[in-house]
Amino acid sequence: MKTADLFGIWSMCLLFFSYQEFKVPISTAVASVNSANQTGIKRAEDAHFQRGMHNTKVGLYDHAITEFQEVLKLNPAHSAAFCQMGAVYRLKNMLNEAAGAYQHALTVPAIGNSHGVANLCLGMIYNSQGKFQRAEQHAEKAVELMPKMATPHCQLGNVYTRRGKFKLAIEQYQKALQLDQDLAEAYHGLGHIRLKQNQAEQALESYQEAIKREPYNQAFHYNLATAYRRLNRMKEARDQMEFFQETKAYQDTIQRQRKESQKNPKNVLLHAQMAETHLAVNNINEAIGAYQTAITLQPSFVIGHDNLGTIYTQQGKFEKAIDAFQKVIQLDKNTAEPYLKLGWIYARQQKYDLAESYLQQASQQDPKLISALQGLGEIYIQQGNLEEAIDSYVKLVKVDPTESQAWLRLGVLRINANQPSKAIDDFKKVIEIDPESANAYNNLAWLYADLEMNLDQAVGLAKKAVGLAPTASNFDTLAYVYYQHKQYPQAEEAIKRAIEISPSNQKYNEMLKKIQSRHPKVIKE
Amino acid sequence: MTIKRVIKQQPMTILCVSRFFMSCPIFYLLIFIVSVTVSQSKVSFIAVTKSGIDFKHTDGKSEKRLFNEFLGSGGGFFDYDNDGDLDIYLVNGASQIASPDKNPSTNALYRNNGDGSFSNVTELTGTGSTSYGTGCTVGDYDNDGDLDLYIANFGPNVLYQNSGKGTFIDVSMQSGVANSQWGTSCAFADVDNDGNLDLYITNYADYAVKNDKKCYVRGIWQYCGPRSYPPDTDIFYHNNGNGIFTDLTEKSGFLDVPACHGLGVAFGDYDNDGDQDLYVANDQDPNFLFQNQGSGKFEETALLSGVSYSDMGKEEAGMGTIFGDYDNDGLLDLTVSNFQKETNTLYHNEGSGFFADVTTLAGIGEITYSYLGWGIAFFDYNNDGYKDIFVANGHVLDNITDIDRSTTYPQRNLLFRNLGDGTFEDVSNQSGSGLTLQKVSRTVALGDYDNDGDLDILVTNWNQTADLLRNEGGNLNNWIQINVVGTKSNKSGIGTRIKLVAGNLKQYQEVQSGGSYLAFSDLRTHFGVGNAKRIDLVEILWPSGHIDKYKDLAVNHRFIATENAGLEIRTE
Repeated sequence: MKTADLFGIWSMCLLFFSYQEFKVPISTAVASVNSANQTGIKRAEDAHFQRGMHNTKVGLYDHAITEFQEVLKLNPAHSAAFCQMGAVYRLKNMLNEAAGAYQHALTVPAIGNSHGVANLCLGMIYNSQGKFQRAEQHAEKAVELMPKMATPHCQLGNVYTRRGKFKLAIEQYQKALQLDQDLAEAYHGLGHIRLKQNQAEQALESYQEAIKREPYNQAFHYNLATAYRRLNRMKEARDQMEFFQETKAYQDTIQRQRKESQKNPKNVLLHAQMAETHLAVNNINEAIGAYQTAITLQPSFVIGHDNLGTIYTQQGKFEKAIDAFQKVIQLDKNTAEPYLKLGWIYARQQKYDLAESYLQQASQQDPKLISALQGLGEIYIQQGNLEEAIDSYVKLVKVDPTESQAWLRLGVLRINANQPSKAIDDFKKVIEIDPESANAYNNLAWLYADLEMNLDQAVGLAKKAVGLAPTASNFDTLAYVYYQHKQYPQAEEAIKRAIEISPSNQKYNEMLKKIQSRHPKVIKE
Repeated sequence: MTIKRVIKQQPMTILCVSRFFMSCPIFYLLIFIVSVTVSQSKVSFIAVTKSGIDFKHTDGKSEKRLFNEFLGSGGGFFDYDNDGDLDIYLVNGASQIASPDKNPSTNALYRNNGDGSFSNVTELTGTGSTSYGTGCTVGDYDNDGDLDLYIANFGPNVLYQNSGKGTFIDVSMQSGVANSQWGTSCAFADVDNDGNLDLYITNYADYAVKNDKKCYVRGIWQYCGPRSYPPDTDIFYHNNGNGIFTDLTEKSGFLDVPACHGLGVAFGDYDNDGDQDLYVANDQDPNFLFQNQGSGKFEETALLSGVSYSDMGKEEAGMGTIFGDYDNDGLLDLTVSNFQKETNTLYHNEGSGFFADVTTLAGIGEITYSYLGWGIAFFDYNNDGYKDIFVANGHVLDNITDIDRSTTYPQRNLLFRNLGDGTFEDVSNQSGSGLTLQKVSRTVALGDYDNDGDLDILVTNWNQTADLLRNEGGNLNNWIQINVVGTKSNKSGIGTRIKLVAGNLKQYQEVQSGGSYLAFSDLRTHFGVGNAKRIDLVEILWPSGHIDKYKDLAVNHRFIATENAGLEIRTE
């Protein structure tokens, strides 16, 4: 079986290594004249190794190789450094060099499970080069050395599959899944064999399990579609093929971008592009990874921090989002957006004081920033500060006089602030901007009714509101208007419509009683 | 005609012993041993060295690694003069940079002298095109009883009309088929069953020599890959029946797919609905399966049919392709040769329009991974009734060892024996000196050029001489060859489906023009029938829909089947 996503699988080789595994304990027996020197050398080794790991992580592969080479100059028996070099060569698609590095790792004493990893990776390299016998030998050795890890079993399964040793492959995939039931590749491997053995139903189940765990793997979607097709389930096959094509397009784009990135590893914009590609298909984790790489390479990369903050906000990881936006502000104090976003986050967390502070800063940075003004307005409302709320909305509608929702909100605030005439003007403004705004008609009608003025007009407005949006609330307003206008039969009819829509609303039932109490003839009838 | 080998008669001699021996149990034991020995006897392919074929391919030798050089050129077997034996046509490249040669390289036609040797009749026949040639195919497009020749070029293609008098006339312009894109493989087929052969050419890339660029891998200069230049659309010509073709590419649905880097073309009725479908192998692009909707309109269905991508959903570098029923179930299967570090693919036709990738199950995955395959063919080399596979290999990068030490530029070709149970065995190492050659091979064509009852192989090589591999021993098993002649159907009988029953063995073959890679094979169908002494049934389904049936035929004969007019033994 070909490795479906080589980049993803090869990154596994990196995951086996946390530096801690490879600290060679300094023997207390070597407490000699050279101990100070050895400690210094060890520190230098560690430093180079860590830098190598870091450079690998951020895609600076040539620098990584240099660092590992420095490790090996200091300690030619550092098998972990050989392994890491192998991993980097593989990421650069230099398979022969990678194999050479792994082979070297095997000639020196193991550090941790370095021999296991070297065998595993050699197995994968030889598998991809078609040297299946050697692949099998190394994959088997990897399993022998790392029997409790799922990936070696899975990779051995892949080699067996490629060689047509299906029974052995199935055993290995099953062992892999016993060790890690979330190993998507093992499910796929099982599915693959089932399909080849004409067991399409079982194949289907396996592929579905694989996709649950790795939804962006094109091979999984392709083979699931094939399984459906095999079973003559044409609609599902076609639908799945569409998923495959979308996933493939996404993966192809990422591969292209990765290649470009390898040519220009310090170009953070390329990493940002990759992040956007990931985001377009909602692969959030990969997007986060790409942005993190970008900001590691260039800590002053504002877009990276900002976009990370946005992603974390969407994920509800507010503390991380706050850190990210704070970083943006540190780098660029003069942009309103990060203040705005922080304001939103704090508002969501109901930390209104903080929210107010940041939204004010946003507004100071950009007085025309409508979102900030709106946000402030809402916060003031939460705080019960009507005056400030009105002030914010007044500013908002000055910035954008066509923002009908703002005028509507302003009108409601003015009602609450006992400024009815201004509220009337606000609602009229809404109607002027948006003649289809049911709320504006409704609110104005209610206000007229409440003020007992322009009641004929109020009836017309309330009817218009109901016509545009026959909601319980609008019928309720119509009933109120009729009531104020002493048109009780019409009021009763209207409130009964409201009750029909919302029978459990006590207010409406009380209104009905109130109307009926004013209109005893109706009751008697 | 070649005299049948004495060894072929030995089984006959044994069977002609007196009745005394027939009562002896040992006699039957001997029969069994001989018959077992025959079916498992070693068949060798011998590279014929003194055939008179002095052709050496050239790509123009620009020394500039021009993008259009690495594909090589094709060739094939056909009987151009209707004298009963197979002649050979070989396509050549041409100089592209230097000032025109006084003696430019040309394509070459070699006439079979009937005694195992060939004579160069290029000039005599007027077939020495000096264009930069790639692929070729044959078919009797004008239904006048002789095979015409079409050559796909980097530049205007050429149609040579066979005059019937031993010469060819270039009718490219007047017939309307001188398409000037970069043509590679091509094939004739009657897609609308109107009795006239239509023509499909796959094109590779939108490229001009003046726009050539240098490509590097890790700082090493090498030939550019297909993604360096945009792909080009293919072209389909409908035969109007009056010597003229009309470009119906768009109307037929072939432009409903994006342009790809086309290299291999194979026609075949994979869905058994009586019309010719088409498979196109593309280089680092998804492959196409165009299903004939019955009215000359095609719909692309490769994705849902399972033949578009590898089994991991990735494009492969498809080179050559051919349809063939390797398991004798009456459904055309499909095989595609691919790049190195990709297996060749064997697709089993499951029926209902779906193919299963059985590469690994069939046992051809692992070995082909290490080779870069081009021409590929199904053929029964040992006449046991099951189609085997031959593939020509050779790298595209002349300096590949500077980049990847694990592979080589010249590569050996591969022969897989069909074991009759859905699996194949690599017998390349046991099949004679012809299979030990390591060259930069490209195309494969098949034909019994020495008329001894087994299929021989023609291999073209990039910038090298072509190889004629003579089959020695394949005719120890019995065989039959059928040359079909259409009357209502196209005269070449292309698209005719033949079913043969001999004892327990049923076989199916379709007469195909083109297929493989840049090549054409003998249009006569060849069946190996193992030990069968008689052919129980030959059933011929013509493209017109007419069916002819013939029973109880002798083995080891060549027949001519004329549509609705009978079967006769060919006596030349």
